[in-house]
Amino acid sequence: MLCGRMVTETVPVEIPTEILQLAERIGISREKMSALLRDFAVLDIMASSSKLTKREAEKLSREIKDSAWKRLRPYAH
Amino acid sequence: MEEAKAIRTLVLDTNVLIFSLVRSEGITRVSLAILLHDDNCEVTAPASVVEELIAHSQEICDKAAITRPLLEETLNRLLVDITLAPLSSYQRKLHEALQFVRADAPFAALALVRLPSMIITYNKRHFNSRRLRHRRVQALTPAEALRELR
Repeated sequence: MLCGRMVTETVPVEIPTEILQLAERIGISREKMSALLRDFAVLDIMASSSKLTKREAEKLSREIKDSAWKRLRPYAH
Repeated sequence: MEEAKAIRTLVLDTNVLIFSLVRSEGITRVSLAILLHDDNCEVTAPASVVEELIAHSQEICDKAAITRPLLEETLNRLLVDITLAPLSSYQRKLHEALQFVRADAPFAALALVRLPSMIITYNKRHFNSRRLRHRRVQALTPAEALRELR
């Protein structure tokens, strides 16, 4: 479907059955279940096209924490 | 009548958020989605570290080859369920947290002010787990945290 310049696309997302079983076992309320599945779907759609590797993720995470720590270190007294 | 469970504080390490963007890390996405919606948990993170994560958005997009609007929409959606803790709320424990870790001290400090608590991380070895356990802080991976909460 074309809306002006914006293109929308329907992407199928497979919800693993484990997520429903685990969520039920933990006692996630029915009201929260749809939000949980929506969040999982959004994350999974993004990750499905991601080229990020574990090594890069680790490196990025370290850089982010080091930058934050540079700002916070003076308050650790 | 069913007894109400105590609310557990989960301090979310930045590496869990970033690892959820790795295609093969389906278990991280499942665990994160469940933990963020568990009524018995409050998920929190140091605001300064999350601000730094947002400041690195373009670098993350470049490495992951994803668009910035997609990353921002996803982060915004996840951050709705994460309480961002200002420095003032954990500053008094920052010095003490340095006994356990260095750059990860904000996560340990936040965990120390919200006892009993769990640090959800992929860098367990960075946290001196035994000493933290004595202070009623557990350092666990997202999957371990799920098992613990079941």
